[in-house]
Amino acid sequence: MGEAESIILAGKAIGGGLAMIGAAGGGIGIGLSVGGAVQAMGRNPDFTPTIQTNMILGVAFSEAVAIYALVISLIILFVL
Amino acid sequence: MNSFWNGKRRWLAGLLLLAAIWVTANVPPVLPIIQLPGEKFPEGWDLPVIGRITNTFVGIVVVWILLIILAFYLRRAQPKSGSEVPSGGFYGFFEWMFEGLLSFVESIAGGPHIRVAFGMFMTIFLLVLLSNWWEIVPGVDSFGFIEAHVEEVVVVDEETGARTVVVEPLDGFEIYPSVVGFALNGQCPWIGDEADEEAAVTAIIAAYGDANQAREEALDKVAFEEFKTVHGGESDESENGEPEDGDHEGDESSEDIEGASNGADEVAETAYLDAQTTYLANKTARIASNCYSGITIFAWSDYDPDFDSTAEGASDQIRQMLEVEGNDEETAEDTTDSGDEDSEEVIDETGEEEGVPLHANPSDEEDRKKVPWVVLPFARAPSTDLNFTFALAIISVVTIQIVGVRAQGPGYFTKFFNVKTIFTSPMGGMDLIIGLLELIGEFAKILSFSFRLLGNIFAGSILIFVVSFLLGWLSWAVFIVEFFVGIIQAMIFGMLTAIFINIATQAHGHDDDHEEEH
Repeated sequence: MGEAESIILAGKAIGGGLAMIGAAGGGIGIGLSVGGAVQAMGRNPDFTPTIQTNMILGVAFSEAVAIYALVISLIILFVL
Repeated sequence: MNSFWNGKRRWLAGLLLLAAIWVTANVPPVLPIIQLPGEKFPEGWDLPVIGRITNTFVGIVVVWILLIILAFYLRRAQPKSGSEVPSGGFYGFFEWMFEGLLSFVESIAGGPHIRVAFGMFMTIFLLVLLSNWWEIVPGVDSFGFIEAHVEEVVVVDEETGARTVVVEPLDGFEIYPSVVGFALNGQCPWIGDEADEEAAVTAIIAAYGDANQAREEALDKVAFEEFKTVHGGESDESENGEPEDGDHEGDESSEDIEGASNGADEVAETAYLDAQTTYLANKTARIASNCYSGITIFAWSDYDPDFDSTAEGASDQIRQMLEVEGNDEETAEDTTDSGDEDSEEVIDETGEEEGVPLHANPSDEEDRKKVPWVVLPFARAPSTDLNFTFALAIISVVTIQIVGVRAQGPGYFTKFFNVKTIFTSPMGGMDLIIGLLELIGEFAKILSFSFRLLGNIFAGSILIFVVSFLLGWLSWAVFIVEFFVGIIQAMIFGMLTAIFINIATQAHGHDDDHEEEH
């Protein structure tokens, strides 16, 4: 592998790794929403299906932001 | 359902799982080339109107066919009146799923426009579900065309004069369709060992060393001759005619020096080129260092024996590229006009020529050793293509706007351009800004829909590849994960569309300022 190619590969690897730092926000968001949902279910167990549905909705939104970071990382690694 | 897996069937399922683990542990698949855009089919496979098709397009066509078959089957299996019990098991299952989802959507997005919301939900759900599940079907992403995969070239660096030649993607390669599977192991039997590479590098260095030594010897000899003639000429300078002879002899000897040094340079360069092209011709077969290709089960080709398919063909192309640069250097030294014309002619010739195309057949033992082969899959999950997810996101968001306009009339757009309270309340300008932010949010919705689905399914397919490559015996677990991820992502896409349709059909009546007016 030539020198220029090594530098490009190293740059790609660093970029891909750094881009995934944004997934931490997704983890925090999912943890907060599920924590709030579990607390609400503890207070009001009869209301559990509605709470579960809204929790899944919140988890999907939050995970989407983490997935954005993953998509950028994949683009850096496999397209650039 | 539980009674199906009693008795011997349970043991059979366990045995199959253990067999799968054993097989994938001992014969792991090869890591494929991962590429985000859908891979285009080779040029002979164009459709008349659409043109070049990609393998994700093949996936979506199969999904359409499956959905149409599903629609026709459900229509035929539907009981004519309400009293008949449906006979088919699949129809009963589908009805159960349909009613479950209908009650689910009614609970989250009920309202007067439930038909539109549920229609969009079910359509998107079925389409995206089948597109997502396509990635866990065996045969997808593993069977496909074989094509040659060669890395890129760096031509001669003109500033430093360094000659670094790496092999170019030779466009003359033909692609031979074949049905392949993954290679049986990660080792490529036809790629040479590290010992071969070291031997080749040693040979290059030796050849260069030999050629350099020959050059130096020739130069020494010529310098000695020059020394002899110069000092021999000085002893004769006392006579008149002989300084001219001495000068002529000096000129001849200087020409001899140039000629000899050029000859020695050519010898050195030729030897160096020979050794290097041999090394490179072997190295091209080694570049995809993880052996991305598969085994050929059945291949057919239009292999043309008239073309030069040996490694010499490759070396000729490289030699032509180098000869252009060599001629440039020589013409810089020479001052003759013929040298310039020669170099221009050579440049024009090599510019017009496309190089020597290499036709290599992957089912031929000898040809297989020349270049690495990769698999271009026949089909891929459509959800891994940004075109599909982006189009579906645009359809969803535009449908939301249309349903909003149908429900509220053109007054729907006052949600975005809210100028009602600008003059009536001190903070009226805020509503306008909030409305504009909501407009930006609509475009963000398109991006969010498309990238959520793309990221989940594409990352899932990469997960399947990598886990199968690294830990072959655990790949069955990843398939189970991807099964559920496919269901969940399809449901989320449809659910969000239904929820936003519901929000769009509600009247814009949440402001307290409005209530003050009324």
